[in-house]
Amino acid sequence: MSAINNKIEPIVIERIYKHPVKKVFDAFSHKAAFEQWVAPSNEINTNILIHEFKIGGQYRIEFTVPEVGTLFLAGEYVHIERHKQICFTWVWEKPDIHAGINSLVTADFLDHGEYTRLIITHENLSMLQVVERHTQGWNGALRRLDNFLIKLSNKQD
Amino acid sequence: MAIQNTNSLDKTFHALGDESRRKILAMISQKQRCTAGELVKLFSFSQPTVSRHLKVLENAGLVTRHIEGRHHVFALGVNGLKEADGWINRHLVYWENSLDRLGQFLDSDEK
Repeated sequence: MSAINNKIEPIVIERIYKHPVKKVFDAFSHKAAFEQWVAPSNEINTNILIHEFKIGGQYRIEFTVPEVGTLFLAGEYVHIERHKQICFTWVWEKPDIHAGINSLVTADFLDHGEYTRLIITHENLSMLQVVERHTQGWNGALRRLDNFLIKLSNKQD
Repeated sequence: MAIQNTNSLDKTFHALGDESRRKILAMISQKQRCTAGELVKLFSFSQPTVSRHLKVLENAGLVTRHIEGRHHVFALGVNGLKEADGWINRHLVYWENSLDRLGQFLDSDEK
């Protein structure tokens, strides 16, 4: 049962770096530094096309993967608390197999003096989108039912 | 009214997002195969409720249906779980590797 439940739990990864929190935070906030490590492999060429590091700012990254092609990842910075937390949306662009799945990444930086504990939480927002779509669907249906009943009542009058 | 889960991963997450469906799925997983009637007896759900949940699970590829005489027999389908696994594993591997590279970058920057 727990294995099934885990399917909808966020991904949480924790790392400890023997560097002060400012340096680890700057590796996210500075475009040149971010570009150095954000790809998951040295073989992937990374080009950060947009990097507006502010709340509401956009980012867009081009990854050139050998024998696969070019992939684009984009999102928006939804929360920034200097040296503490960065929260950003994460969406692969078409034609990626996971294109359009809206997800949210939160990076928490815990200051331990000479070292930093970094916690990455990556949540898939599909479930929330489904709930929202259903709500919209029901609201639409109920509006139509409402209109239908009004028309019916007018006819009877 | 257009309520459509166009993305198959959405269907999986939608199906797994309901506690009753997770219970049904866990029971099918445990017993390996289950009829709709058995599920009605095991849970305090009505026949139409069980049928509705099974339909959602079936559409998401989480269970498969075989008709044996008058009985509809359900078993665990792996397709839906693979879909969810695909997204999760990809991002798990992504972060594991990029955070390793972050460590290397921070160390190299020190020199």
